[in-house]
Amino acid sequence: MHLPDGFLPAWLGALGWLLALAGIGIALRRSDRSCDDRQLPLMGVLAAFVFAAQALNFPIAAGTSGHLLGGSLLALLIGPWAAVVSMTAVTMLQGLVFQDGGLLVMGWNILNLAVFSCLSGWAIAHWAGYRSPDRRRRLAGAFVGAWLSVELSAMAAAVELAVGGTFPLWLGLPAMAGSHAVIGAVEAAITVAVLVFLHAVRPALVRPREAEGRPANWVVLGLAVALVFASLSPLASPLPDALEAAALAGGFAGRATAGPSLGLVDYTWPGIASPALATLLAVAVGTLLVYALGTLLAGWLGRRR
Amino acid sequence: MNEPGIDPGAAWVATLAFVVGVALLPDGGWSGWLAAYGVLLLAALALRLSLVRLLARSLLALPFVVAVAAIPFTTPGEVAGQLPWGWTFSHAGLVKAGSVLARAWLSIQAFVILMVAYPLTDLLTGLERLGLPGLLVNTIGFAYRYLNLIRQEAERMLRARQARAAGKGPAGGKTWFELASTGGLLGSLFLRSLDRSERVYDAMLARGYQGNGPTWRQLRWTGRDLLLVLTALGGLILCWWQGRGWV
Amino acid sequence: MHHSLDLTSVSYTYPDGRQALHSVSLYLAPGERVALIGPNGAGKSTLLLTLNGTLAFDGEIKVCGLAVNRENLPVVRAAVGLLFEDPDDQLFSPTVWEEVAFGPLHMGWPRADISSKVGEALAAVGMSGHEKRVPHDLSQGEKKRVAIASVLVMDPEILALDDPTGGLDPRARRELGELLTEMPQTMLIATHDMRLVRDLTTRSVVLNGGRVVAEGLTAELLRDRELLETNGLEQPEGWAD
Repeated sequence: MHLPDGFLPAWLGALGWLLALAGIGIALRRSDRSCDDRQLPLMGVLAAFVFAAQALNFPIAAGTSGHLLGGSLLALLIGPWAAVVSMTAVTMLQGLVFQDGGLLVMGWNILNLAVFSCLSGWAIAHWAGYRSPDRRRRLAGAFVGAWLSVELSAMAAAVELAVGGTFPLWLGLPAMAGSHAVIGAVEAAITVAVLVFLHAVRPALVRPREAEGRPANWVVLGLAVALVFASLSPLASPLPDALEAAALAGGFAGRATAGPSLGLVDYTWPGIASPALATLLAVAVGTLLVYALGTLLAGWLGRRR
Repeated sequence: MNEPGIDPGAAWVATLAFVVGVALLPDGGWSGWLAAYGVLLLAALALRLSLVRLLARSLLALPFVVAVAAIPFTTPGEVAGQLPWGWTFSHAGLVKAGSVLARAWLSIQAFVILMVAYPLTDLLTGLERLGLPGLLVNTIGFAYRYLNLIRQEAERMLRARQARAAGKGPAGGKTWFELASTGGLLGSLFLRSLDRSERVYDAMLARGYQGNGPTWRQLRWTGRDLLLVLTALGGLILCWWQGRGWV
Repeated sequence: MHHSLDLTSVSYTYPDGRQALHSVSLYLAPGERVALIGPNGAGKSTLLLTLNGTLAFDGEIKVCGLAVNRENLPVVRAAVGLLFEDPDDQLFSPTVWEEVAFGPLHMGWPRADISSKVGEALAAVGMSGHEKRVPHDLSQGEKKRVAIASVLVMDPEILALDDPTGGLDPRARRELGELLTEMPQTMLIATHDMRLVRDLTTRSVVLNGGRVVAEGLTAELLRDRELLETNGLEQPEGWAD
């Protein structure tokens, strides 16, 4: 999921860096409060742990194997803000040492892989039952949190690519969301497996931590960020997308019929004149729907026995 | 490795200016990118770096080429051709795909030069002098230090596990057996890392650590550094003028 | 008073309730080299960790006449050089130079002094010229030596060494042993290496279950085969009566 340079324009890369640095600044200050003096070796050594975990292939079941991204697992174990710092270190190291991810776009890579994944994984897990005294509900919460954190990071990348004009949203979003559905499932499975083990060996680690504030705040924060994305969408290319272009070129334009798309054909809202405002609203509604679905699903899974 | 003689912070600024400049050149700015590559070659020669080695390292980072292949099919514009099963690709799309590739590759090359010319610790110190928070920089330093060690521990544990696995699949038909053992493996690795971080903390305390990471290298920009940075910024402005605008 | 180590009724209980040390009393005269021997789990490492205040203990410890308590911690930590069992825990900096310079930097020494002190410390352990090396690339013996240098650079009065020859091949063990023999500091060495005990130390203390079960001249203790075996130890060659 590391974006290389060239896939986003310069102005967007700069914006990503600004947002990333802001996020890192907040994370550093807040992790200070929960980790005390030992945070430096803790976050550093655990960043090395995540790096090693990401690099290796772990057997899952019946001969298949997969990778761990680790953001939400780390957030549940050491708190979301310390996890953000650790994962930022991982992402930056991957870019620096292995050229995995570009320099200009590193801000967005940090946001996707460190900030969004840790915060959303943590928040959704808590929302979905991680605070419950019932162990199974806690694990279910962690499962949902891990899965959705991967999906949200992937979708964020798709939105960034669309806003940057590299890949249109109709291609990027389903491609990223679809491909990361399996990756998310693997992440969720491994996360739960680790938590089960740790619960047996060192239960104090897996007990939910009180010190980090109510998850509702973070869900709202995440929503706000998603809406910021949505508000950038009018800047995406107003030209007809490739499908239409191909249709026009091939003379098929007349034969195209609007498929079922909730009335939001061409990312416009019927009845609203300004195309920019309409696009804004359409993407905003789309984002809200995805987020709402995610949290509803999390809550529903959390309430099931 | 020869000492580059240029402050790492200045090198960072120059590299960033290069990457941004390359990004600002508009789609199809082939001559501009060729000139940029020329700049990189000059830098590599000036630093006495092996070109073959640089090339090899940058090729390792190119798997994303696959993603670029989709661009011609999704970029609107005059149709340039068609695949047997009906997908059309556009001229603009081809140009764009080539441009993305050029920008990405040039950026990787610049990055590789930076990484080969300087030890990582110097680069981290350079970042800190430029304003990146010390705690983050030191965290990266620790992660770098313990990277190989923990990876080796993980590999050993994986090998030990494989040595005990029957090879035929999980016993008793329990499909989550492998998952459980992976959970145990990663969980153990996590605990070992956690415990190690505690011992490292004790070792740091024993040598006087009081809560803030050390900043020991005092790097100051010389006239040469300033010249490099100004040239890089000049090049950046040139690219911007060429691209005529920020978007 | 200087360079001496005085423990009086030192006890320590782990957070989970397990008592690791039971009223340990010990005195090291200036320049003395004392071995701390005993089976695994006896509390040797734990005892060493109390010396510089890493663990909060009951009882009294005086380092060079100064009590080990919260106020004196910075001074105590400079006076007691602690060598950890696993050098990878102790070598946490990206390069050898930074590792040795860590202590002086955090003690706030003037930068001009640091470079020369680092050079001296590395020379003392025979690792000059290795400043830019990465800890991961060092051999086990080299790691131990750099760890010692990182401790020596602070001019400690007392050295507390946890299994200094553990994991070393015979040649590295011999070289390290020779190095330690030449160092003038007061030393408390926790070890299983009976040859090191024989060659380096004048006095030995046997620790078992967190208690001092025997104490005396090394030469005499090592002759008592029954005592050694009862406490999970081995008599080195050539010492049987």
